[in-house]
Amino acid sequence: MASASARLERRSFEVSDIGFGPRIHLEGGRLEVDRAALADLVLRDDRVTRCNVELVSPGEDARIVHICDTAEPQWRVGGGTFPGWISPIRTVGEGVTHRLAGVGVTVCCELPWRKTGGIQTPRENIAEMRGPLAELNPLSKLRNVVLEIALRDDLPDEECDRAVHVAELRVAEHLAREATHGHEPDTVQVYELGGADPALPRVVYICQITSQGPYAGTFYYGGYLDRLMPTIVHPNEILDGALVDGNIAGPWIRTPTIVHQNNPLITGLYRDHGRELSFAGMVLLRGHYYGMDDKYRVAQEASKLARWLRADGAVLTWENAGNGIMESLYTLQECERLGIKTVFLTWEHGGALGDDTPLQFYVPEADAIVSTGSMDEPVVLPRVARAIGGDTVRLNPQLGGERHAALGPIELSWRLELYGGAGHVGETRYGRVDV
Amino acid sequence: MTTLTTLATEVRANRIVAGVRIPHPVGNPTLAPDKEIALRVAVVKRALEVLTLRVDGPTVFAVDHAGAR
Repeated sequence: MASASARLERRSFEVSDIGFGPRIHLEGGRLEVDRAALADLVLRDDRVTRCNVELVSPGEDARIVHICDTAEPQWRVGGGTFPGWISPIRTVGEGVTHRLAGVGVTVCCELPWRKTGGIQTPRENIAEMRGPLAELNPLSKLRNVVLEIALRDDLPDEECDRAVHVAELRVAEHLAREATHGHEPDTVQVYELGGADPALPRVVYICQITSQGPYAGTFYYGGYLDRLMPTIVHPNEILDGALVDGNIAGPWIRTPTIVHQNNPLITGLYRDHGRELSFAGMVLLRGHYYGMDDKYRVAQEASKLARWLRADGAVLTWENAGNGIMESLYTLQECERLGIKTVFLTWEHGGALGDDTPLQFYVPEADAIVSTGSMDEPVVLPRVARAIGGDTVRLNPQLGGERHAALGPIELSWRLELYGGAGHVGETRYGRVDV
Repeated sequence: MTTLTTLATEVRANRIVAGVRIPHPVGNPTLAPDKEIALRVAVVKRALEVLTLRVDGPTVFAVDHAGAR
């Protein structure tokens, strides 16, 4: 009989320094990258017309703009890396995966603005590498391989959306494979559910993503999750590259792929598994449906799946903004009715002065909430010495767009353009950042 | 008439009729035209009806749109 348990062995190769060199090579924590070979790899896709590779390290007086996504270099030794993109669609989360810890592959591209103002507008995604705002994005702590690419201008939005991710994921897989093949890792972590003391409370992770088509999607095994009914997934699948983030339209309110690959709630629940709790599994759902009936439907389904996993408690996160919070809070409400104590992690509005309504929707059962801070306070990004990804930033698509020099200073009326700032799964920091 | 009933409550609207869809609180363009008209009439009738009711502070009223979905 087949085992129901998936065992993922993640072998981590720590990287603390990065530079260009004649070939991809990792030694003593220093990763060398062959600049021309990586660009050639990206240019094998005939949708890409230009590719330049840049490297950026923590603390640099720099800013990255036009970000489409970031992936951690991973390579599944048995094959099947980034399924649905550069490998056939087969379930991941089992076997042996090598990762370059501390490295991010970021793809930057100025995508076309065809639906300005709508939710599928690819907005400006900005990451600060230095200063207090650097804390808000995942790149400021990483050695970054940045792919500056341009696409053919005759591509439909769906093709643009796929092409940027193919470039990113090809390079991520290639780097991990070439740098670690045949080498011994610094650390090995095994992720496997089950085996915990049955007396421990069973805790489920309920993860709500958003997915609404090109530039506003989340991909599961390479396909948009737009019509996903809530489903049980194995947390190992998420660590192993099953989810890829395409929410370019919501820079602050997105979960970059590298954050899914290292979701600290998954690794945190695993850390406490068998000691303080029993990690009972994971439910994945999509929010931000337009119809109230759809919202009630997914909330009923998600809470039912948590119950089938015999949850005593749940950790609930959401992604995106606006009415997307309703699916999460209806799910929480139903979980509490079923006796599943649920804690909710969210960012806040609150207005520029912090005295306005923090959440657009709430239910009385939401009595355990962790805040990751506010998006609404205006901010000025200071002048920097180096801009990667582009020479300009594009702001205010709803007004037809306005360009500013990427070197800054850049005035933002709120923080929507700051890449990954919401910290949806607690990956950056808790609380507010004052500037 | 709104789907974001908690916000309406917070701004102290006295009578709040729960809407159907986020971008279409008083309709549903995915329905056949005759069904949609019936739905719109039901929501608006409900709104007119609750205007005649006495309330003590913000109150949310549901609409029975069974058959109009």
